[in-house]
Amino acid sequence: MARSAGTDGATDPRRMRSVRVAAPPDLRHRRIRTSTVVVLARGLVLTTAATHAAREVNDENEDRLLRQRTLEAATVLNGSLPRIRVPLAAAAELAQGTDGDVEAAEELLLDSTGDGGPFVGAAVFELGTPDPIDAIGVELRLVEAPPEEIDAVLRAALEGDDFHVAPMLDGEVPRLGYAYASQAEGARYVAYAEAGLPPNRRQVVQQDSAFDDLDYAIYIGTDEVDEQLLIASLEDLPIEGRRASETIVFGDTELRIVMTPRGHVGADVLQWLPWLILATGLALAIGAAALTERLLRQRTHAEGLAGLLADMYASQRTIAVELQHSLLPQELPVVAGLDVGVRYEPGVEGVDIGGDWYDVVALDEHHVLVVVGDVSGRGIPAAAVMASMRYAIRAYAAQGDPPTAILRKLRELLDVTRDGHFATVLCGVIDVRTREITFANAGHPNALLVSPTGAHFVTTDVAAPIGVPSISDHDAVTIAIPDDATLLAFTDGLFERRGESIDVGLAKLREAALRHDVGLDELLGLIVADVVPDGTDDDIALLGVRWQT
Amino acid sequence: MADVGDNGADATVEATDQSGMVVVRITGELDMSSAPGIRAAMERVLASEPTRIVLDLSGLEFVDSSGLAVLLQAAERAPDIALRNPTRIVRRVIEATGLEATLPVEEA
Repeated sequence: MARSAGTDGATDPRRMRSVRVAAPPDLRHRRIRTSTVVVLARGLVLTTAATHAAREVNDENEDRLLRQRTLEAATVLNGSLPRIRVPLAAAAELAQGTDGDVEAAEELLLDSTGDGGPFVGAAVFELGTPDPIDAIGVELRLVEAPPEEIDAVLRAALEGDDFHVAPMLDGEVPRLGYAYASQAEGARYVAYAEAGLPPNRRQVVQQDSAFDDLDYAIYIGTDEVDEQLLIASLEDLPIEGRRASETIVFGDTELRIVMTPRGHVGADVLQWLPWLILATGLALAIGAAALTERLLRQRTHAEGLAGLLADMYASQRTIAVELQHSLLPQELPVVAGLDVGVRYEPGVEGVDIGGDWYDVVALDEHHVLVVVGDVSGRGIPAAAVMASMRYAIRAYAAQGDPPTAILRKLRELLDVTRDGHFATVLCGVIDVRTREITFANAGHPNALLVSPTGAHFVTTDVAAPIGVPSISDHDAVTIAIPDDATLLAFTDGLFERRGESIDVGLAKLREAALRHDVGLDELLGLIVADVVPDGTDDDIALLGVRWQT
Repeated sequence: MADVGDNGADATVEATDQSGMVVVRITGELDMSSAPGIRAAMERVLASEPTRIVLDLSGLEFVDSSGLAVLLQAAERAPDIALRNPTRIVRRVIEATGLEATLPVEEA
């Protein structure tokens, strides 16, 4: 089914230049090695359970497999939540940060609305106003509701720290509404979107499908009652007999997944998952397909339980990598006269995604914004902060803000005490005519300017990271990028090592950059190979620019 | 999912003086896996409403962004904070991150 997005992009050189994500098979290999202890521990626990099960009749084996499928389905659903949370959070923060200038916010939501996106329609609301500031996509059901109902949804969003779920399950067009309020103090803006559900909330599994042996029902909340049903593959509910269920947190409520075999447990996960995704807006189809395909293949050799677990672990990792990739630019702008290359290397430690990012935006014919940033911590929350930072920077830059103003405005969006994260950001605007770059820096490692005669780190006026109060004003720094030079910006994963000062890592990086006289893309690859030959537990984002000769 | 054992961190309250100054010694590797424990320890320290927190970092061998976040949260909430004898490794990270003013090293 679906192939890796990274591979797809890289094979089309016209559309996408130089965006690379390390190939999952390679990662998986390394992952297994570094996670042996974890996998063994998990393997031991489940092997004990499995040994017991193997002594029993085939029935119990089926139960175990069903349970496993259900757990995995829950994992996939859980991993898909950022597809809802991230665009809404970014839009809400943007509306708040720009005090109701919703154009940029809607551009964000547009990407997630309609074909391929989790939403059918979306809008930005201001508290106290029942009419949305602006709406996109199909007519929203919430807009037709009485003003006090709209107000209740907006207030529920403002009270929670995750998205508020507004089920609208009656009528001919059942929908799920999601509302996310800006987390800023005194927030007034709420990003709202609706996902469509199939009529009657039923989606029958096709009989001629190769994967038609599982039935499922998904409820909102924990009660398996008809009024709370989101979607099911069968008419007779609730599901009784052999069944397994799992509950996951879903915004400010929960989702309950119940599964039952139609004959054997063979998992028609591939069959129902696309509908589930469509219905609840919990997409991330690529990761889900990768996981389910792997699970289906693994069923044939499910006896080697430790091996299976290792692969499941790797699958989870693959989903994380795909998710991260989806949050990074899918293609880079083409700017006449300028070569831009990027590289992203996921860390080998753990299944969590990191908060590193890069971005390249053509502001006009002569100006290009380049950004490299790093959100502290790991996991979905760090990735969500990363996405809102990235989109906010794009929006501020589109308004014409220079780098220092962009960083100053970003400070209003993040607070380490409140949010638990801070972000380092290096933001530069390249003037193609004067061949200069103007940097502003919030706590980020300085760029490296490499020319045939030597390499040095560009000195900037480093302000505190975003999320930490900046005590004084900081200046932008403009430097020339010589004709034969390469400018490299990166995150700390490239040079920070346990047990050694960052100066050691920075010196290695400088040497590696000087060592190779090759094309930009090749140079980025060689630098990574030189300075982290065995991979690193942190993610790495690396961006390079040079003039075309 | 980090391997536990070789990269833990410890926080110990070393001293509390009459003026309300608390000295907290943090040792080991302050990273993603050890940060929650140190955050909890700092919460307890902050709950005692100290007038000044001195973080003795002479035994801190590594700090990553998750670890810095813990120190920064403490710095924002404490009325006054200073670092004592940070190792070169940690001091360089703080300098490079533009945090010398937020996490100042104690005057000798």
